[in-house]
Amino acid sequence: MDLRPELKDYYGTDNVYACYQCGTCTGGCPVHRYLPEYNVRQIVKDIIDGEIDLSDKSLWYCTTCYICYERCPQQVKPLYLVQAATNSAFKKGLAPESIKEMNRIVLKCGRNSEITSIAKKQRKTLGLPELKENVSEDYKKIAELTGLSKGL
Amino acid sequence: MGSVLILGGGITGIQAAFNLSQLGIETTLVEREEELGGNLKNLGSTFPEGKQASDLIENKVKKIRSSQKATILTGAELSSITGESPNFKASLKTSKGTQEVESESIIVATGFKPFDPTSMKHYGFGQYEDVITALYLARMIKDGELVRSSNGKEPASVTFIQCIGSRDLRTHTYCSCFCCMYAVHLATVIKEKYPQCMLNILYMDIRTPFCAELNYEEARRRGVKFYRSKPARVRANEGNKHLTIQFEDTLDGELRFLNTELVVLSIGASPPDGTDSLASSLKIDCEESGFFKCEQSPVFTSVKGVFIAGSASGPKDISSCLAEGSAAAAQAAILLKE
Repeated sequence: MDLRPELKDYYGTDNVYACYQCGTCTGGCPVHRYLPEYNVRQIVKDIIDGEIDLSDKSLWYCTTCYICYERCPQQVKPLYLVQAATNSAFKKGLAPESIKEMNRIVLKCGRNSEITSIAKKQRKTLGLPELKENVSEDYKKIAELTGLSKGL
Repeated sequence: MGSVLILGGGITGIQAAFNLSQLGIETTLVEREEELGGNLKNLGSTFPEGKQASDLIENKVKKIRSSQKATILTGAELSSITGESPNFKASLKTSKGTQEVESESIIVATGFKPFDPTSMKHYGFGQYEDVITALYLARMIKDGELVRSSNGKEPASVTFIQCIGSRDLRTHTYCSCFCCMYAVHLATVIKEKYPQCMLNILYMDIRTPFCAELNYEEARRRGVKFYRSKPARVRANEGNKHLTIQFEDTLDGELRFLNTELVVLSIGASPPDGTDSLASSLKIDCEESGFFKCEQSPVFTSVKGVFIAGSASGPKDISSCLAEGSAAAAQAAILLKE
């Protein structure tokens, strides 16, 4: 799909054309080294060409280590472009099930993992206070304003 | 008839002085280094023509020296310049003390300064002895040897990394224009002399215009390997036995680890030190790049009687420098005649 009309919202600018596809980003990417299907340079190219596949799961492999951001000779900020793509994908409901599930749990109990009975028991033996499901009002508001709840 | 002051004794300044002395015009050629020849004197053979750089310089310098009209001042640093056309007054610091030169016009031929790659830490320059600049390599080849600094032995492989200090927002945004040409030339020269040596060039775009394209073709024919990539980093391996360049080959998307014994950084051009202050004393402008700005057409500036030639207005190859040196000499001569 063509992400360019939305780039200003997610990326702050629609000027990605400084990229000359030199490969510095992918060459230093710790994820690409082990998961070659994740290629930052290719993601940037697909965005420039207006042909980014937002349902591609590899978009979510970025560890946000910022190496591509630091080394890019044209200061294209590839990391932010990947995030623009994942943000847009999420809003369209195209995020992988694992990401959606984590957000559902946060919205349900205010934590990124559910409170299990084992955890409850362990905390009791260790004399730690009991955990309670508690979703902050601020978080609910953020989820609504950012469209987080919609993408689920 | 008046006189012309030429600032910079590189190939451009030499060409201008040579032409002006042919026209019988009084000329002073000023160079701050002890020797004439500028950046060109570090090269053995030139690109793309393959002529001997020393011949190019010496033949003309000999003719300038034999002319009654020309004065050559080396080891001379410009301390101030005042006045306007046709009455410029320059004050120069030389080993023999201060010298005043009056002239009707000035040709600025201050050239460029080779880019210093120290800031590019991920390529290991300054950290590993076998990561060198192309300028250092050119000097080695000129002196007839090719060795690794770490062990004094001939390298089994040499890899060039292009666009060092060019087309990079952190250093210089512009293309330095000649790096592809010299890299292709040096690689071909090495391959010719050391056929066993493996040659690689890591490039983003090969820019070898006009007849230099044939040199590119020739390099490929001789077995120089080209990879389209700007590498992520250079690291030393196995107790400095060799260096490993990590990069993505952007033509097939493969991550590669290329082992090489010598890494050559194809450095671009920076504006020379003192460009700003010279611009303000001559009341001429500089481009955003830091080089002098030409007005409307090459060699002209916004100030009457001040001309710019060669790499002083941005990096250029040798033949363009020769052409602009001659053009500036012609314009200065026309102004003297008016």
